[in-house]
Amino acid sequence: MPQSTALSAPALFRRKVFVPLFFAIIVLTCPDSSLAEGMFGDFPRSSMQSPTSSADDLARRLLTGDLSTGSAAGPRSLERKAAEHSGSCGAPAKCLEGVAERAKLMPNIVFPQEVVNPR
Amino acid sequence: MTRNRGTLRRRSRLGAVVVAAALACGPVLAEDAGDYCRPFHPSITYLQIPLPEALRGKVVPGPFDGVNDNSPAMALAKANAGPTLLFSAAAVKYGALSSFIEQMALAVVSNGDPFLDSLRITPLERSLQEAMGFGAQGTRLMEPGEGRPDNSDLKLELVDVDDTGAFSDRLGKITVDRGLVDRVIYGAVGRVFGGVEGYEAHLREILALTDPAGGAVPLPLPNDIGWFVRFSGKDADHFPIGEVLENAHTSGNERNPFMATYLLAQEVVGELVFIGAHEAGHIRNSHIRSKAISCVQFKRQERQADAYAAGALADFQFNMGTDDSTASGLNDWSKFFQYYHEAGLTDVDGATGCRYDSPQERQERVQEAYQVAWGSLADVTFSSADYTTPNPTSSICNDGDRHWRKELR
Repeated sequence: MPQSTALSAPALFRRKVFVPLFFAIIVLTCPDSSLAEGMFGDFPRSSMQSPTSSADDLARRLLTGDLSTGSAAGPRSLERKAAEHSGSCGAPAKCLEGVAERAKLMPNIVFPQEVVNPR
Repeated sequence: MTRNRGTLRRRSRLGAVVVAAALACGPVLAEDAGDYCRPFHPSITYLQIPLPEALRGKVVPGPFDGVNDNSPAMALAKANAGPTLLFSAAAVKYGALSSFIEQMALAVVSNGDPFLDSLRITPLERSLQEAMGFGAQGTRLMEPGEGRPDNSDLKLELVDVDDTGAFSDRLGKITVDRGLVDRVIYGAVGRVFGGVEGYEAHLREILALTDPAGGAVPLPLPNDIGWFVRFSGKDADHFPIGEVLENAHTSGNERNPFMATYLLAQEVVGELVFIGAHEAGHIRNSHIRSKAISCVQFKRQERQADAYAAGALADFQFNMGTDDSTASGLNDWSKFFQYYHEAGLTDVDGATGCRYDSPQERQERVQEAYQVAWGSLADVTFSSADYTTPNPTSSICNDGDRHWRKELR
């Protein structure tokens, strides 16, 4: 006697209702894996150039004075890019002007100058 | 009756399906902070640079040259300084150049320049982790605070895109676009040094330090800074760059490169700490950001993340300058709002199209929450019967006990 392929009512219920319901709930309740500020889609992995020097190598060069002098200011485009992003403080001297004043407001001076500077 | 039992069975199955489906969503980060004690750090002084083997042999015990002072103040200074270690000029230079502050700037602005490239030893992502305090020793922003987890489960990743966003996901990963870091760094280099040329001059100032023939202070540093640079070590294997920077900053002496390093750190970290704290707030509040989110929900989530950041930054500030809220140090988070647009951030969320509160509104709200949180910490701390100052190495624990002048747990 050939076996019937018809599903019983409970089995039919499980297959037609439970399984779709299970996945529907997962889709509806699982948060998007990318959340705050909306990260959607795949970004490429970081491919920034790694440093060519190691800590030991830098230490050795500092001891021997064997450091590249390179160009005086680097590529000009860097200057332009920095200028584009520079704020109100345009020159190092001007930027440092307020530091002494600010320092006076700092209460947690570790070594007061009169203590560490006997001159 | 039979039908009722069937209904109950179906409902229980439905419940099981819902529970199973929810579990299938993956782990949700635990909010349980566990036991912890919050250490108190006097500003950036915690930061130490491990020295490579080649430089450790150059650190030797030495006298307090040039300081003939037997006053109580000097005795305290000597006690704070620990062993009298003499760091060679090479060790001083290494300690200065290898901090995350300089390495982050070098990684961004070097751009193939042989001189700048020759000083790079740390990948940008690693320096960023240290600056933001996720996944590495860094600013200590993520030290646990009142009722907050320690965030050691959060990771930070840098992605190589020109976009200027910062993101978080529910698994505890904070992602920062390289373009955002570029803008923050270039902005800071522009404000502090006037551009890359000025930054190079600053680096050359550090590299110009030499060991003097007859004295103890590397030249050409001013004596007050040089003295500190040479003698402030707690052990011979680490250069105390944090204490050097703090002393350079507080001394107000402009003739030293470490003051500029401190200013650079203030500019850069001030912006980054708020970004990190805000993203941590999204994760800790289990925010769900889908494309279907309403703009009302979006705004609520943003305000919650800002409120969390305010609390975390109050903790950070309190740890860094316990005795005075004006000792802003590295925690001037208003820079995030001040340079909001300069850093490439926009008023509209790219994914949802929803509008953020304006930077001014956000800053006012954060400032208020920050002051409430800081005041609460101060009330608890300074009302302690055995609180005494100066005491930079105390701890306060979440078990309700406060421990002063004791070892950290």
